[in-house]
Amino acid sequence: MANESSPSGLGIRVNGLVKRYGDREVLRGVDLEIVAGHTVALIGPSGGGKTTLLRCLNGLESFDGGTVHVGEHALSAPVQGRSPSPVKAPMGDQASQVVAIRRSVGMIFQDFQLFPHLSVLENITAAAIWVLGENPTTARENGMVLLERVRLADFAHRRPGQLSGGQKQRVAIARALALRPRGLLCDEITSALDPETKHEVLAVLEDLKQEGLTVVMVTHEIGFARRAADRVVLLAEGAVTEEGTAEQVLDRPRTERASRFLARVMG
Amino acid sequence: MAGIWALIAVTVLLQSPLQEGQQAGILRWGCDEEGGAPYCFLDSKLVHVGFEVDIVRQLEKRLGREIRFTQYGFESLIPGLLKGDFEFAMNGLEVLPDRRLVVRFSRPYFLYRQQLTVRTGETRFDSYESLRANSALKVGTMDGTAAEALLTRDDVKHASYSTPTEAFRDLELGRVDAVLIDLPMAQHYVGDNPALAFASQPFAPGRYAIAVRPGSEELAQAIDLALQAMIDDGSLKAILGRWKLWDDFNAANLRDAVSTSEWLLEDQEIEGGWTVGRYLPLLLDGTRVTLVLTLSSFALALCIGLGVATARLYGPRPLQILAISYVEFFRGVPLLLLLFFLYFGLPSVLGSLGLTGVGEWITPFGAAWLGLGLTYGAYEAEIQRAAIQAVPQGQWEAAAALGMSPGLTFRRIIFPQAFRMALPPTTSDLVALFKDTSVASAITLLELNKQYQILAKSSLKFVEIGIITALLYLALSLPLGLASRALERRMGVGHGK
Repeated sequence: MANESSPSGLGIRVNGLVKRYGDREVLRGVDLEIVAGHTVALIGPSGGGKTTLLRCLNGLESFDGGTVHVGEHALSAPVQGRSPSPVKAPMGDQASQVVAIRRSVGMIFQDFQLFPHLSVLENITAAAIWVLGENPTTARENGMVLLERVRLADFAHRRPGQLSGGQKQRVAIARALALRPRGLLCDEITSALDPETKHEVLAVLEDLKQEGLTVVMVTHEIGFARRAADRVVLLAEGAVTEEGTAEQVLDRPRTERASRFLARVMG
Repeated sequence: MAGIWALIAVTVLLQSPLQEGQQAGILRWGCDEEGGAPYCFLDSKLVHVGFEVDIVRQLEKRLGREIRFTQYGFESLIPGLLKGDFEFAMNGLEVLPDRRLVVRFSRPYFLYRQQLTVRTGETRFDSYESLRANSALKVGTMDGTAAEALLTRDDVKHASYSTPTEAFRDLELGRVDAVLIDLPMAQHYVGDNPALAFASQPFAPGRYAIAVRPGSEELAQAIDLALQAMIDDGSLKAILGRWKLWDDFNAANLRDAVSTSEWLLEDQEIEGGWTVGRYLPLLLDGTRVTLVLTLSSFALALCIGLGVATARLYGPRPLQILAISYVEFFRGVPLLLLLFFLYFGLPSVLGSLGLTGVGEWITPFGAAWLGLGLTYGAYEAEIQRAAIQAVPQGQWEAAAALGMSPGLTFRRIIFPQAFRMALPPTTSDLVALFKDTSVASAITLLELNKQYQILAKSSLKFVEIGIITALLYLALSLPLGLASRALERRMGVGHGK
């Protein structure tokens, strides 16, 4: 894959990805190539499969056909299996691939999902200490660096419940960065925030772009897509309908469906 | 509020005892048919039989009044009589000094003696004296009997059962080393059982008499006369003979027994009476047992609960079914039944499996610990299952996305949150278990409630000792509640929203 020499940024390739919920096909053979270090905005109407596609990339969602390559790791259908946790975890060889992918790609959720029983700093150091077995002191030092970077160092010992939405999401970003990932998956991370706090979070993301991380972002922020995304992908009815630079996709859409969607979201 | 008090007042009034004679000449006879052979028990046709039943039929004729049987727990006969639930009590009631203070006893109708029963082949002792000399030995007897008073006076380690059946059963199982009990019961229950044998001659004689309320002198005198007449015309001898109870001792002493004053226990002075200083140490001892039982069985319940909850949520299908069955079974079976089974039934089950000698390891405390742990484990399993499921699915996903394994996620992320949510219902569960430890009194465990029953029935200070006992229970349950609320507050810091 691309960019083997760089410590950050990894390429992602999706081939013929199919996902069904019972009889309903939510992803109908998605093909997508994401260059290492790019920021990609995934846009499209609700129910178009954006979030499902994102969750297939790190194995949070099983799929029924096709392959996913993330860096040097690969998942191929059928990805399935039962697990003791309510999270569908694949078995055997796929399982080790999933774990490897999850360690190299962080994920941020719309509803934050911080661990409410842990302090802000503990949220950030949890995976480093428990998963990677890092020395707790080192992990805490690294965690404080990350908190300073999202400008929340003063909140290190608060509980998540005491923070505003924007602050929570910045903690979630810091938590995802604690494993020093080479990619970030962002699932509508500003949808639950009010307009002012959205900017705090988007500013942090634009900042990260400078470091060469690959960022895949499901978003409704057309303005952010235009400003920060290297590529914009429009997903509708389970398939990629447009793919290109922000200008290509947003200003000169090729399909009628894309035009209608963009007309609606951009007013 | 006022309405409730009015209701209580009316209820109390309705329950107040009817005076004698108000009930068309019918006399109510208080007696315990449970384990009541050969005094009064049910035969296979469910008809009351026994030598006291025969005596009562004679009394009916001689007093010219209908006598109606009233079932009443043996150890509660005196309080029940004083409360007015029946007009007289007759059920092998020994004339004991503390009883004589509160009831009017009739002339005796039988002279009992104490019989020591042991397992066949017992070599460590062969009499009450040699038994007393060995402080390691434990004796079974019955609640509220002269034998119990004797063992207490002589400082012999003993367990008090509510029926003789259980005492002899535990002797066979090796949980006690001997049974000391009135001769009629010993004769009936040992019978020709080859596993048990009488040790030495019967001793410590005393009188069985009919108890009436002190105010019912007229009735008492009528009963005295009727019994005397039965002795004089030989009908009492005939009845006792029929039940193989007529012996040389009764032949020699029964006629003159009213005036005989050389009875071992009945004429002893009661030292100091029932003062707080006398019963409080016993109550505190019961409190200690209750507390230890509560904490140890709750620890067991928590372990079982967590195991069953996780098996039900994450186990393979057969294990899930097993977990569901466990919960339904132990939630559905009454605790009292379970304790009886564990204590009295389990040893014979194990015995039939060839595990003899295991019975003696199942102590009252052990059975109560296991029974409470199993029952409350079922409640805990449901509480914890609900709490685990109440943690949002997104928490699993967030942990998985950080590379945490399902096991790590459960331990570090899900369980700590579930634990916090389970805390309030778990606390009320703990308080409920704490109060349910009183059920263990049924299998002879000397916990707080049992001590209260024994002391209150012996001293008849139901209210005074009852209030102190209630205060002791509260003194334990209130800090329990406060501590858990403090824990909730501490763990809930900043969780808001």
